[in-house]
Amino acid sequence: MEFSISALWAFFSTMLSSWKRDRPLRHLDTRAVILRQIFFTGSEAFRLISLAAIIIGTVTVIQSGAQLRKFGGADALGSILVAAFIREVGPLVTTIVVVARSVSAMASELASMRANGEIDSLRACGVSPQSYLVVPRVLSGAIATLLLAMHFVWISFTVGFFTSQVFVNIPFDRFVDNVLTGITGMDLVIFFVKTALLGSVVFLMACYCGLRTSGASYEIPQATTMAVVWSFMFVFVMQLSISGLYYFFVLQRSGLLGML
Amino acid sequence: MTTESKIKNPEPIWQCDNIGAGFSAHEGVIKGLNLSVNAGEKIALLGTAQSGKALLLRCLVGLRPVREGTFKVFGNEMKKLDYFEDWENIMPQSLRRRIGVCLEVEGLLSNVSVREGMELLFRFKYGDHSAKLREGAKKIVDQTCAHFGLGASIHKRPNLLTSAERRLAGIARAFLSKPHVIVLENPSQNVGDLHRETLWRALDFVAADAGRTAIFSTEDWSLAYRYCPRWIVMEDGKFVFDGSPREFLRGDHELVKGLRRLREIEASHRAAFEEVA
Repeated sequence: MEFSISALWAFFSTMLSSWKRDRPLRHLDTRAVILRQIFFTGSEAFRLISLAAIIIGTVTVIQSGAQLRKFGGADALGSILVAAFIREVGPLVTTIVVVARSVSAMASELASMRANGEIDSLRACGVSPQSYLVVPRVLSGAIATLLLAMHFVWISFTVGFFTSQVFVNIPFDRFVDNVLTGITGMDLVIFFVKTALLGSVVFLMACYCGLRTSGASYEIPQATTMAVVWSFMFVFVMQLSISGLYYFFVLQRSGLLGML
Repeated sequence: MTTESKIKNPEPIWQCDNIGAGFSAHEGVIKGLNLSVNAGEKIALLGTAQSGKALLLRCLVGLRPVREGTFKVFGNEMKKLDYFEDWENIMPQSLRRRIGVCLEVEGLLSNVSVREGMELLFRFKYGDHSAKLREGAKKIVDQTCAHFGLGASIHKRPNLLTSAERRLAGIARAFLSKPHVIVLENPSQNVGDLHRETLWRALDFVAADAGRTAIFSTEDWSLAYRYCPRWIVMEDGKFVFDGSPREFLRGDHELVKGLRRLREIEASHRAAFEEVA
């Protein structure tokens, strides 16, 4: 079992054409699959995401607060948290947790379905596995990842506030003011686009790797490993690309690019 | 390219000219096969193990791509493909839905009960946007399952069923939408004497319908003889016989010789049994 970008692209194109042809979201069963997947993906990762947000929020505030206080720039803490959590860490950490918990489970589930002949029987019965299995999973994956990332950001900001009270000693209204002035519309756009994109890509990868098996049971763990490894690869590359593009345009707009 | 909108009126059901296919991209299991199946024909696909029956059946129902030759289903030429990702497009959905299929591995959905799985497939095929459609799906599933004597077992998940019940549930699913064409792979496999009568009854229904086409890939000679006036025998990916059962059984093919030996053994067993009884 080998990974191939052209095969992944063909898989993605087939998913889009099946979506267009069958319009699976009209079916109550597909909607039920979406809700079920959102529930399982969300509930499975909820506690882990909370724990990650608490730890990362605390460490970031302690580390950056200590440095900022040395230079008398404690007021910049809010802006740093916005840049760190909304633009970068929130989407990245959430997707990593989702890959570890849900993508692996989904890839092995689909590979098992293939080994049990369920995929062939769906196809033979005139039900497209792409419409019934892939479309709802990719959609629900994007939604669940987005919800989890919002949860991550909310928890990390709350924890960041309490930690800053202890280590940096910023009053509540100043902290909120710093955070709110630090958030721009572009930050929110990047957060939503990046998270939804990363979420849908990793679940597409899970479906691709799960359904690509030939039906032998020894390929189930191979499919799971391949889904996790390639999901991480795509997540890191996409994270870097989106952030790189953002900073490129910001620097270009502010005229700093020419100075570099 | 074949599209749903271009589907023409079907005649014959399958037309294969010099087709070749394999389970992997580089392996050719069947090669140079010519087959024409007209509406209403009942065909038994026989042959030794590894003769290519399973692959041919999968090609006929659009689960494996044909790589060589011309392959038409209901008068529509199918694409020749090599890539897994395109396999979904081998055959348009509307053509697939006219063929009821049960393969050797039934592939019943494992995360729901047998009944829910069947209802789900039915609703996905015919829509579920109104309460009437959903009720209709339930009614049809109940009727079909009752016809196959599945009873209370349809409320269980497939892993809790006996292999015979799973087999009957798989065949019942093939009959669910009353398709024009039935394709069954080893229908009597795992069906013991207790459930055999139910299976015979269902297949009698197919045999009695002159307009319904059926292909059974089987190693059960009595089933083939009872229901199929046309036998196709495969060996090493090729057809070695295509004709009536009488004609084949009068010949001296290795399979016939094996069958005769089997009958002799069975006759001696029966005699021993009658002696004891």
